Amino acid sequence: MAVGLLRPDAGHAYVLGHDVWSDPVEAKRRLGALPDSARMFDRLSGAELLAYTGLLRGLPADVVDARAAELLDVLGLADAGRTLVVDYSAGMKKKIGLACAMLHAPRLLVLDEPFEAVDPVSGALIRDILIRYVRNGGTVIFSSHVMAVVERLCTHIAILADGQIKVVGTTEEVRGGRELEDVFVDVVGGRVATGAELSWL
Amino acid sequence: MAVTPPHGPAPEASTDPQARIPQQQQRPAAEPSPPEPRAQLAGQPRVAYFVRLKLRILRNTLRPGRRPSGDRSRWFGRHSRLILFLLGALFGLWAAFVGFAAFAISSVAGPHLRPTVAAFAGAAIVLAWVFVPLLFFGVDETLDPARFALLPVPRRTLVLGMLAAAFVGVPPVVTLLATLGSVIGAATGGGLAAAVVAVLGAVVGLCVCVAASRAVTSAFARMLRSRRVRDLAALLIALMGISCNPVIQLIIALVGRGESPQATAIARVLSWTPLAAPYVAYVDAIDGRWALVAARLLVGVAGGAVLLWWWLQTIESAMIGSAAGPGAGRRSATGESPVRALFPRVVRFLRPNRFTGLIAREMRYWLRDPRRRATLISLLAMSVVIPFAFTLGVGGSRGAAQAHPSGHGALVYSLTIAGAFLGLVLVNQFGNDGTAYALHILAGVPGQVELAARALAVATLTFPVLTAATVAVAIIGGEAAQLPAALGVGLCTYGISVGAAGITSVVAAYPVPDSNNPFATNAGRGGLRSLLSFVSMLATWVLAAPVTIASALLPEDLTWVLLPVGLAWGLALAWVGTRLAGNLLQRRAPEVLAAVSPRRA
Repeated sequence: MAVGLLRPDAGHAYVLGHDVWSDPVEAKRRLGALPDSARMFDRLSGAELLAYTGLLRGLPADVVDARAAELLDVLGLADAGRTLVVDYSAGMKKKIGLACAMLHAPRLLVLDEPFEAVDPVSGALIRDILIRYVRNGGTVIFSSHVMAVVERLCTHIAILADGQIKVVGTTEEVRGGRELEDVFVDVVGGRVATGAELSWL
Repeated sequence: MAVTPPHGPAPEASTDPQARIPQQQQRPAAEPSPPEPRAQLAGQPRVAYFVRLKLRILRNTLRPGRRPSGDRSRWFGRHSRLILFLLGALFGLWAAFVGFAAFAISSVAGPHLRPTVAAFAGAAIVLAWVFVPLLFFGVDETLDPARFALLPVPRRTLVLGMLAAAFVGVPPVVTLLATLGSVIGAATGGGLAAAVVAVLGAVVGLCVCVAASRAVTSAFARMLRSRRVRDLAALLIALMGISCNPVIQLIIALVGRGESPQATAIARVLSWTPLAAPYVAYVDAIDGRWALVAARLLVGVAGGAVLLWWWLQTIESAMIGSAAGPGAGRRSATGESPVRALFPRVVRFLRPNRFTGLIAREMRYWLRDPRRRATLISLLAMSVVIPFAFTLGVGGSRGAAQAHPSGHGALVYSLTIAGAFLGLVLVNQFGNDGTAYALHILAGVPGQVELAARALAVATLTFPVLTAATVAVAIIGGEAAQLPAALGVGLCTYGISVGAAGITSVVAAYPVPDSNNPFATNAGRGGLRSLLSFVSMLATWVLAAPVTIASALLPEDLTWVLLPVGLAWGLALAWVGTRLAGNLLQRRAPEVLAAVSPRRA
């Protein structure tokens, strides 16, 4: 909804002052997204996919070439050559998706589970890139179920359950001195303890 | 924390895990069957488990689907599988009836014709069993041997069990019923003994059919698991299927002409192969040559045994799967810049921008995606074969007296069909992309640009072939004078069909299964799909009618007018359709995306 893929029933989503639904062109120009559930055009090679994304975004061809080459190089995808994205590993897919989302230099990145099913090396690389991006003035919103990553990376946290934001605030406010995982379980209302149930294990 | 399944942003996506779990639980419930292999003496009794498992799975798939939490609790949706199964069974019954009648009639035909017809019919049935699954329906993988890889089942039991289970289903029953038709001829011709032979022949023949089908698919399975090879196989099979039609027509023509010596000779050879031997046996029984009967039945049994043995050999590799199949290549990094790499060579001259980028990507996809490629190739081949068959077939058989008028009409009319077919590839253009279409929404691609680029990409790929074929047909058929009219009509229908398909694809997009198998279709969507295709084809023909009628009415020397007129009319309607659909798409893009996202229900 926030990035324009699902029509909301009510409410507004603004990207740097531009409404995603009434002013989509300006909003989408400032926005990069990595949807987790959506496939990519995965029968292109990494380079082709980046080029295609760039052209779709209306970037000039030489800019696309330069940025795509650099992104592939930084993300360690350059030696994948002409391998199709279909044949990429999970980590490589995440990385190429991230590259696609960043290609047009958006000011806001919305990432869905960027660290899920990613090997530690790729994960560290993605983290470094995101940190550098934020240092240069960008904003990243990402969802994750890995509390350790969230604790380490985020300045603000919102806990979302059943489609509602339960808690929102800076990391310190939300944690309140406890482990984030405990806070999460508390807020969402799951149960932690398994007592006698699986005793046969 | 546990790894949670990826939650899509859609609220209904959260029902997915629940919807999937029961299916997974049903299997084990039905599967306590294969027990320890050495507990009993032979594998024989346990073969029954496979049949029971198959029946259980069949029953479970026919059960009404779980009522999802959302508003999709339509009665038809829940029972669609049962309804489709019943429809399939009805159709099967009808086919069995027709087949039975055909076999019965051919079996009471004249004695000199009988062996030929029986041989061809038998061979056709066995070949159909081998190729039809590969071509159209995909393989019935209800009992995929790979699923038994972890269970301690001896291979022999596995093969026999799978064979037994393969007899459960509509097609084997239909085949058996149809081939039993020869019993009538056998009984009237040779009495009870011949009838028994006919029944035996039908049963042995069915065994050969099932064994052949299983063995071939199993042998293919390993190859088909690697993507590159599968692409290649899809292509080969598509070509094979297309060439099937002319071959069958040739055979029908041969048989129809009666005792053409070639047909009889071919039939004589066929009737000694497992393909036809069991089906011919009753003819010898009528003649009282019992040694021959035994020999033919033996040939059938031996053929079946060899096929089973082959299956036994391949089943192991199918179970292990192919972790290291061919097809991991393509690593050769080229020095090309990314943008250049995106553009296929034929369109390199275009200046890269959003529109041409879309065209380039679409072309790449038509060539790379196995499903799309299979569609494209089969439609393209059809639209080439149809003009050939119509023009040459009609013109050739009707003789010189009416050759000209009928041939003239045939070429033009066949192109209306061909043009409409080609447009059909776009009917579900968004469904083909699936959720990848999200990228276009994220990038904010205008709807009209999108649709125009897609139509142009298909046109770039298909026009050269279609034009070349039309020119070739026209010259071979001596219809060069009709060439402009035919091309005009063809282009016109193509344009209209693109416009119609554009609208259909936006209004009624539907998901295609997210699978590598070009043969996989979504159960329950087949009907909708053909309905949509039919509607947009009908609309195309209605709209193209002015040009088509004009081609029939215009005097001979004025038909060239149709080339520019048809082109203009087609372009105009394609433009209108694309604009309408584009506007619609502009407003409905999120809905289209939601419609093409596969619902795992």
